[in-house]
Amino acid sequence: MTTGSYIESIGIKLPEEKVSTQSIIDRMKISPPIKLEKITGIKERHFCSGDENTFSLAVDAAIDCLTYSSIKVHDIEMIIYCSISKFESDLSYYYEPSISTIVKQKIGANGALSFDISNACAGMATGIHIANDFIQRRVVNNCMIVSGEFISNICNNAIQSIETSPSPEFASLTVGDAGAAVILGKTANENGFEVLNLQTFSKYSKLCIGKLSTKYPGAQMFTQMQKLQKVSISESPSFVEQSLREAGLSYSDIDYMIPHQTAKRAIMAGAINFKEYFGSSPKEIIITVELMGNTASTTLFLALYHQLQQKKFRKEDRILLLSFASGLVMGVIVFKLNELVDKYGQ
Amino acid sequence: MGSKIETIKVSLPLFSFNKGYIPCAIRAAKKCLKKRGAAEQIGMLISTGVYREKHIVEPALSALILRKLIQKSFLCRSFSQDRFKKILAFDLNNGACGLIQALQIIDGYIQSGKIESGLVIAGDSLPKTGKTENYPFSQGAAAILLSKGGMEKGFVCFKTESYPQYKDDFIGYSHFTKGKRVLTIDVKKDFLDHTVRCALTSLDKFLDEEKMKIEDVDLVICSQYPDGFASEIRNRPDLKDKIIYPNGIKSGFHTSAPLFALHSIFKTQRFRTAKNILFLTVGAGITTSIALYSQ
Repeated sequence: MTTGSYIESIGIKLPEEKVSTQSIIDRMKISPPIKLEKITGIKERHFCSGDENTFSLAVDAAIDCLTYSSIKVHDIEMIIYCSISKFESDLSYYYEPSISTIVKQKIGANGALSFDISNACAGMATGIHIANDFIQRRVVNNCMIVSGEFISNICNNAIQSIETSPSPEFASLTVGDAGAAVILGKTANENGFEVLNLQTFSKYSKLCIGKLSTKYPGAQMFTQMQKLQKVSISESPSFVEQSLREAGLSYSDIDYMIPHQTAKRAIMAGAINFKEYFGSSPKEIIITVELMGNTASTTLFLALYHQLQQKKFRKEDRILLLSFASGLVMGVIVFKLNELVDKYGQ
Repeated sequence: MGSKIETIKVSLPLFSFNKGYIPCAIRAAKKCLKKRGAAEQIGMLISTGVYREKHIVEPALSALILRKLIQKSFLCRSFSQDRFKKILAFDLNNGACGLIQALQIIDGYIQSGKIESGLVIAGDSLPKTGKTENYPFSQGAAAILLSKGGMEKGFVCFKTESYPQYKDDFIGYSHFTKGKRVLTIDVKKDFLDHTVRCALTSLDKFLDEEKMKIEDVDLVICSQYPDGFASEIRNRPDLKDKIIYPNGIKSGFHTSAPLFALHSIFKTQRFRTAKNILFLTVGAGITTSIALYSQ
C-alpha cells in the first residue's frame, strides 16, 4: 500500500485587537482619503498588541491545532515553520536560531526534526508540499506546518510613508496578523491529497518585494498591484487546469475553492475569469478577507478553519486551496474532507 | 537509492562594490548548470542562507535567483519548450544546518521520482543597508546539483538534533534603533565549547544508530563557524586525519561552509577514493545536522 498524507487538524490564533479600515484611513496624511474598504472589501483586521508577536502567534496556533489532534505533542515528528515575518514584539527581526527550534521547544515537541522555510505567502503551502513528501517516503509519520504572521508593522509603516495615490505600498494597508498551524498525518495514498502542485513563475518575482525598513521599525512592502493581479488572473486558470488534469480531475469536480485572501474585488475578478475559462463554478468561492484582511502565509488555513467551525462543509466535499505569493508562486492543493469536519464547530 | 552529487561550484564577490549573495549565487548556479541538459532537468531550487540580501524578506531569494538564471538564457529553452516545466523555488533557514535539510529535501524528491535533479544554493549576505555589529561571516555562495544516484549510494541518511539548553548561545537579529537598522550577532563565550560538545555527541549517536564505526568514515566535512570549531573537532584523535576545511579566502563561511570545504577536494583523488563522507554541521539553537554520503 502506498502512503499519502492528509490534514489531521488545523489551529489558528487571531490577536484580540481589531483594527477597522476606517481607523487606518483616519491615520493617513493623504487627501482625498483612499476608498480602501470599497476597493478591498476589508472592514477590519486583527493586529498584535502588547507581548504578542510572531512567536506567540505561531505557538498559540500550534497549541490550538493540538487540541483538535489525536496526535500527542511529544509524538510530533517534524515541524516546518513557514512565515515571512520573524518579529519580536519590539519589531526585532530574528535571523537565527530558526523559529521552528523555538516553537518546538515552547510546545514540547523536542524530538521533532525542524527547520524554517520561506516562500512569501505560499509558505504554508510549500511546507505542506515538503511534509507530504517526507510522509509519503515514511521518513516521518506526521508533521506540523506552522506560521505566525506579525505583519501589521508594514501597514503602520505604509500609513506613515504613503503621501500620494497610487502608491506601491497600497497593498500593505490590507494586511492583518494571524497564526495558523496544520498537522499532516499518514494515510493510504487514495485518502491523501489529490493534488499538491506548486510552481514558481520567477519572471514575475520583482512585482512584490518586502524588506526590513531603513526608515522605520519593522518592514515595508512594495507591490506593483495591478501588474500582479493581471498576471495572476492570466496565468492561474491554465495552471489550475493542468494541476487538476494530472490528477484526473476537472474544475467541475471542485465543491469549494479557497483562494489566497487579498481583496474581495480581486478574488471576485479571479472567480469570474475562472468561470469564463472553465464554464463552471464551484458551489462557493470562500472569502474571509472582510474580517481578517490579508494574513499572508496563513490566509488559506484561517479561511478553512473558519468554514469548518461554521459547519459549512460535509464529508467528501472536495476543497481546492489556491495559493498565490510573491515570487510569483502559484499552488493548488486539492483534497476531500474526511473526519476533519466532525472535529470542528461543536 | 540516494541522490548523488552531480557537481559543486562556488563563487566569491568579484568586486568590492558587488558583495551581495545574489550575484554570487547566480554565478555559482550558472557554473553548476553549464553541462548540457542540466538546466532542463532541475525541478527544485532551494536557497539556504540566514542573512539575507538587503534584508529582503519576500519573495524567496531563490525566486529572484531563478529569474536571473532564466533572464540569462540558461533556462529559457526549457521554458519555451514546455511552459509548465515545473520548478519550485523556496528558501530554507536553519542556521548553519540549513544546507543539510535542503539536501535532505531535494534528495527525497529525487528518491520519490517527483524531480530528476535539484539545485541547492547556499550563502549569506552582509546586508548592504544599515549597520552591522559583530558580523563574522565571509561573503560568497556555493551551489550543489543533485541527481539520481545508484543503489546504496549517494546520500544515504540524515540526522538532525537540537540542544535547546543552549538556545541563547548564538542569536542573530536585526533591530531599528536611533533611526538606523542594525544587524547584531550576540555570541556567548561558551558557544564554541557547546558546539563542539553537541557535535561530537550527535556524531557518536549517529554512528551508533547507523551501526558504523568512525573507521568506516573516510572524510568529515564540517562547519567553519564558530572559529576554532573544526580544529577542536580535529583534536579528537580518531577524527584528526578526516576533517576537511579550507583556509584563506575560501574560509569563514556560514551556511555555505561545508560546500566550500567539499569544493576544495571535490576533484581530488582523496575525494574520489573516499567511500563514506560525513557532513557535520552545527549552529544556533544549538542544532546539529549530519548527512552520510557514500560512493
